[in-house]
Amino acid sequence: MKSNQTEPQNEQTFEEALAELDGVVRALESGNVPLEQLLALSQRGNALAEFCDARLAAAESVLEQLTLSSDGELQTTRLQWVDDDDTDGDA
Amino acid sequence: MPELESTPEFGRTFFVSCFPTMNLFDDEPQALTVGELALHIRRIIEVDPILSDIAVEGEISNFKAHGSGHLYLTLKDEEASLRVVMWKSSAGRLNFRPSNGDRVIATGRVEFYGARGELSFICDSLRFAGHGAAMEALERIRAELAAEGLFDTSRKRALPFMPRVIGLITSPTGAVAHDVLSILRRRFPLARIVFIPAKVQGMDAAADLVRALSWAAALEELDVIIIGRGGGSAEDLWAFNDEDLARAAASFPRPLISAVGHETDYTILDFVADLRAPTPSAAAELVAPDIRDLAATIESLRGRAARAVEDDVTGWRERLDFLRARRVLTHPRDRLVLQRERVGELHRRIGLGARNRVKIERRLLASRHAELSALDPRRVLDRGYALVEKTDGKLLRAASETARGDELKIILRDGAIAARVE
Repeated sequence: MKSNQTEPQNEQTFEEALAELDGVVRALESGNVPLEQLLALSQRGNALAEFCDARLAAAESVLEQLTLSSDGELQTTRLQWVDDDDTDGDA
Repeated sequence: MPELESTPEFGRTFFVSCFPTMNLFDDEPQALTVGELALHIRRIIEVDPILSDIAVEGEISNFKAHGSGHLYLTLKDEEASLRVVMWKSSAGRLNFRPSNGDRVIATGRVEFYGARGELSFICDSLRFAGHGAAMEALERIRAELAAEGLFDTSRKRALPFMPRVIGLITSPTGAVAHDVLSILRRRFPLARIVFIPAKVQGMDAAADLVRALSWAAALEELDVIIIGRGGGSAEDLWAFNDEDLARAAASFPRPLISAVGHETDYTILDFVADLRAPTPSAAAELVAPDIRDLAATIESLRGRAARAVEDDVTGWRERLDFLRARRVLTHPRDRLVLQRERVGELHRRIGLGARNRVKIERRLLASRHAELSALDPRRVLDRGYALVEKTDGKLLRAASETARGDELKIILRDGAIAARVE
C-alpha cells in the first residue's frame, strides 16, 4: 500500500522531485503530521532524495546546434563534447 | 650652426643640430642603430616647444583603467588616432569618469618610447567636451527605447530556477562559446544546451544576431537564452547597441540574459535583457544552479527530514507521557472522593438553611402575636382600668348616658360588680 505512494514516478523531473522533497521536509518540520502518516512521509522523503541524487549522478549535458536544413527547416544536430581543451561546438 | 651648409638634407640638418658631438660628416651616410634613431626621434620631440605642451581634442576609444591606477586610451577623429596614457597621479585629479565615445580635450606632451617604437601622448589633464557622434546616436536610441518602456524593470522576467533547455547565441569561433559551454557542462549537466552560432562583430553582426534570436524564438522547448560575446573595443561591441536587436530581444518569448564584453561594458542589449551578466562566463553561472549546491541541498533536506521525524516522534511521545502522568489517570478515585465531599457539603448546607428558616418564621410569629394581644381590651383591665356596662349590655362611654337610679355593671380584671347611680 506504500509502493504507489513512496516511490517517485519515473516521469517526475528532478526539479519536481526536489520541490516535493522540500515540501515533505516542511510538512515534517511543522510537527502537524499525524503519527500514522509519519512513517510513510519520511519514506517518501528518502525516496525523493535518492531519486534526486541518482539524477545528479547520472546527469550529462546534451549539446546541440541549431541549424537551417536545405529545405529551410530549423533542426537541431547533436554535437559531441570535446573533453577538456578547445573546440567549442563544431566537433 | 655652421654645419648647416655641410648638408642640404633637412633631416640631417636637425640631426646635426641635435647631435653636434657625433662625427657624421662623411659623405657616405653612416648607418645608425635602431636605438640611436629612436634616441634621435625622442630628442627631436623633446625639444619641440609645441609637442611638449599641447592640447588635443578627439573621441575616446579603447578606454582602459589599469589596476595600477594609470589610464590608457586612444584619442581619435576621422583622420587619425593617438595613443594616450594618463598616469595615476594625473588620473587622480579627473573630475569625470572617461568612457568610450566621449569627446575630450587632452592636455599634455608627446613622448616617443623607443623600446616599443610607439608615440604616446602623456596626458596631464582631460576635459570633457561632449559625447561623440556615435555616442549621440546611441544615446538617441537608448532614450527612445527607454521612453517606450523597454528598459522597465517591470518587464523583466524571472529566470527559471532549473532550465531544462538553455540556448546560447555567440560566435562559433573564439573562447566565449567554449568557456560558456564547459562551465554549463561542469556546473549544471542536467540541461540540454542548444548552441546557435552568430556573427558578433562587424557590419552585418546585428542582423545576424537578430536572425539567431528569431531561430531561438521558434524553439518551443527553450527555457532561457544567453546572447553575448567576449570583450573588445566599443566598436567591437557595437552590434549589441543595435535598435533592431534591442526590439527582437524585448519581444523574445523567453527570459534573455545579455553577456557582452567585460563587466564595465554596457550595451543597449543589456538594458533590454531580463538579466545582464557582467561577462559570458558569469552568464553561464547565473543561468543555472551549481550541481554541487544541489547535491548539498538534497543532503541538507535529507538531514532535516530525519531530524524532523525524530522530533515528531519525540513530540508525540512527550504528549503521550504528559497525558499519562496527569492525576486523573494516575489517581482516578481522586475525583470520586472530591465529588462525595461536595455532595456532603451541599447536604449540610441544605439542612442548615432549613433550620434557620424555621427559626426566623417563629420569631416573626411571636412578634405578631404580641402586637395582637396589645390590642385586646382585657389586657387593659389587667393594667387597672374598668369597663362599665348598662343593663342592656351596652358599654357606657359617657357620664351623661346615665341617670339616677340606673343599674350598672362594672367589669374588673377578675370579675364584675353590680352598682347603682346615686
